[in-house]
Amino acid sequence: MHHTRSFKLLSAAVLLAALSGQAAQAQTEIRFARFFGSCEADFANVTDPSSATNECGVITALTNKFNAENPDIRVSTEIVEWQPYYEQLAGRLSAGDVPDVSVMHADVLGEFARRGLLLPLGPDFETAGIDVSDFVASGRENVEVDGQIYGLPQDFISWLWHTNTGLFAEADMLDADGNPIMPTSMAELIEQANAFQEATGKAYLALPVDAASIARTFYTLVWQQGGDFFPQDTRQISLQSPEAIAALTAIKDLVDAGLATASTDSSVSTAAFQQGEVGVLTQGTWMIAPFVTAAANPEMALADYGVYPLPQFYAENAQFSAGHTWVMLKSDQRTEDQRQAALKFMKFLYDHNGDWALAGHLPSRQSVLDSAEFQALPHRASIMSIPGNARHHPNTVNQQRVMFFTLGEELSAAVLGQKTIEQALADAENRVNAILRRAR
Amino acid sequence: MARALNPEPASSRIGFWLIALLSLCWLIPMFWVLGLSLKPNEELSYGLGTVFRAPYTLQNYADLMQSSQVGRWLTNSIIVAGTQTVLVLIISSIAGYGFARLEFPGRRLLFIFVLLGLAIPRQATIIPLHSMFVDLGLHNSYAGLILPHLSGPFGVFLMASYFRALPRELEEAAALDNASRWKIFLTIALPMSIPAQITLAIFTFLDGWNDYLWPLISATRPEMYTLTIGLAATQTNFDQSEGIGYLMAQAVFAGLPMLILYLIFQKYVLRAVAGAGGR
Repeated sequence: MHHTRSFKLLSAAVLLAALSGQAAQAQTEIRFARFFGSCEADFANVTDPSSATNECGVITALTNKFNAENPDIRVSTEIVEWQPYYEQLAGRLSAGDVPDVSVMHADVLGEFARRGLLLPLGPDFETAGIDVSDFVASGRENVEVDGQIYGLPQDFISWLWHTNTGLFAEADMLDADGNPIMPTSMAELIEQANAFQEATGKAYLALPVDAASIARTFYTLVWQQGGDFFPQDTRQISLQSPEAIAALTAIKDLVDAGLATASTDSSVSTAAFQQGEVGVLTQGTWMIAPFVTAAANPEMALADYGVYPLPQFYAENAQFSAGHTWVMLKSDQRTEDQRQAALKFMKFLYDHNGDWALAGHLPSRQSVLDSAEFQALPHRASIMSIPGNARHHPNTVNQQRVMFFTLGEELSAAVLGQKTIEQALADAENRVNAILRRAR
Repeated sequence: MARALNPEPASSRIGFWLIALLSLCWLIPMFWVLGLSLKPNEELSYGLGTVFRAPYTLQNYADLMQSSQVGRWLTNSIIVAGTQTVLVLIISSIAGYGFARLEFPGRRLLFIFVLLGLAIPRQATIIPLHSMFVDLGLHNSYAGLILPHLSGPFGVFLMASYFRALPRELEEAAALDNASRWKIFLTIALPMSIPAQITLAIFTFLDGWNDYLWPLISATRPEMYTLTIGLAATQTNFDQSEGIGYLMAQAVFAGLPMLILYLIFQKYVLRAVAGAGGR
C-alpha cells in the first residue's frame, strides 16, 4: 500500500512537470530593448501605471500589466543605458542579436529605415488594430519614410519653460490668470530678467549648457526666426546664418549678463530650480512629473510650479520636438509567433498611450491629446499647443544624433567663452558637414 | 632617552603632516560619495548640504539589491575579472621569463614587437575584434568577455623586467644540479616573483572589473552584463538628475570589492614598487 501511494505521488509529480513544461513551451517570449532605467525596487510587481511618475515606472508597470494579461506571451525586458544605446544596438545588429521590440528616437528612425534595418509595419498595424490616422501629424512624419510606416510613435518630447511661479509672484510678475508673464522678444526677456533679479535677488533663468540641452534651445531659437538649417539639401548644414548667430548671441548675452546661470551638468541646473534658486529652468517634458512631485512637498523650495512652451521670442511660434518610437528591427531569428506577439505588445502600448503621458511627455495619438483625461493631468493644458507648433529636422537628415551632440559641444564652448560665437558656429558647421559627408 | 638622543627632524614632521593633508584631500571625495549614498533621494533634492545632517538610510543599497540581476552581474564581473587575472598571470609569467632568460633567434625583435602593443589604444581594436568575435559566435559569453584582455603587453613587460632583475646565481646553481629550465622557472623564479605577480594581478583585476566599452558591445543580453554595464543601465534618468543617493550607492557598491582587495594586498604592492626602486 505504501508503494502504491508512492507510485501515485510520483506519477502525479511527473504529470504535473510535463504539463508545466508544456505550458512553458506554449509561452512565446519576446525581447524588449529599452532605456528608461530600472526601478524594480518600486515597480517589480506593479501593474497599474497610474502609480508611476516617471518613464521607468510607467513602462515597467505597463510591461508587467501586459505579461499579466497575456499568459501566452512573455515580454522579457532588456534594459540598456541611454547614452550608448545606439552604439550597443549597432553591435547587436552586427552580431545578429536583435531584440523583437526596441525603443528608438524619432531622429534616428529615418536612417535605420533607409539602411533596411527596420521592418515596415503599416499593413501589420492595420491588421493589429493600430489606427495610424490617429497619430498626431508631426508624430507620423517621424515614422513615415518613403510612404511606409516603420514605427509606432510613442510620444512628443519637447523643451519647456519650467517656472517657479512662487518667485514670479514675489517679483510681482504674474498676469491676471496667475501665470508668469512671458516675454515676447529677447529685449523683453532681458528687461524682465533684470526686474526679476532685482525683486528676488535670484537669477532669472537656469540654462543647462550641456551639449544636448543647449542644442535644443538653439534649435528652437533658430526655428522661431524662420531659420533653415538645410537650405540646399539635407546633406549640408548651414550654421553661419544670421538666425544662428542671433540665437547663439542671445544665449551668450544672457549668461554674460548674469541673468542666466549656465551649467554643463544639467542635473545642477535642475537642482538649482528645485531648490528655489532660479525662476525658470529650460528642461524637457520628462521633468514635469518629478517637478509636480517636488512642488507638492512642503519642504521643497519649489513652492508653486508652472510649465509652458518656450516663449515665442521671434516671428514664428516654433517648438523643438523629438519623440520616442517603438520599432521592430529586421531579424532572421524571429519566428512568426514572436512577430505576432511583438505586434500584440505594440498594440498594447498604442492602447495605453495615455498612461505613458503620465511620465510627462505629450501623447502621440490625437484622440488621447484631445481627451479630457489627458487634459486633466497637472499642467498638460498649458502645453497643448506644442504638437501644432512642433519642429524637427526632416527624417531624411542622416546622423541626427551625432550631429546634435557635435553641434552642442561647439555651442557650449561659445557660451562658456572658450570660443567666439563665429568660431564655434564655423567649427560646428565644418564638423557636422564632415559627418554628413561620411554618412551613407 | 632614545628620543632625546635621536630627535625627529622637523623636516620629517612637516613631511608627515603634508602627506596627511594630501591624504585627506584624496579621501574627502570618497567620503562625500559615501555620505550621499546614505541619504534619502528626496532629502538630496532639497540640497546636497543635507548630507551633513540626519536622516541617513540604507534604502539606496536596499533598492540596489532589489534589482533582480545585480547578483548575476556581480558574479559575472568576478568570473570575468578573476579568470582574466589568473590567465594573464600564467601567460605573462611564462612569456616574461622567456624573454628575460631564454636565448632564441629574434628574441629582441619579438620583444619589441610585443611592446609595440602598448602604443595601440584598446579602442582602436574594438571594431575588428567585435567582427572577429561575431564570426566565432563568442558574444554574450564568458569567453567573449575574457579572451580580448589576455594578450596585454603590459604584463609581459612587467614580468620580463622583474625576472631580468632577479639574481642569476640561484638559477645557475639549480642548473648545475641538472634542473630543467621549466623546473627552474617553477621552483625558483616564479616564487621569487610573487610581489610582481601580485602587482600584475591587482592591475589586471582592476582593469577587468572596471572595463566598460568591451562588455557594452559584447555582452548585450542583460544576464551577461558585468557590474559596470548593469549598474549604468539601471539609471532611470539620462542626465542623472534624479536619485543622486542611489547613483552614489551604485558607485560605492561597484568600487567596494576593489577597495577590499587593495587593502588586503597593499603590502605586496608596496614591496614590489619599493623593490623595483631599490634595484
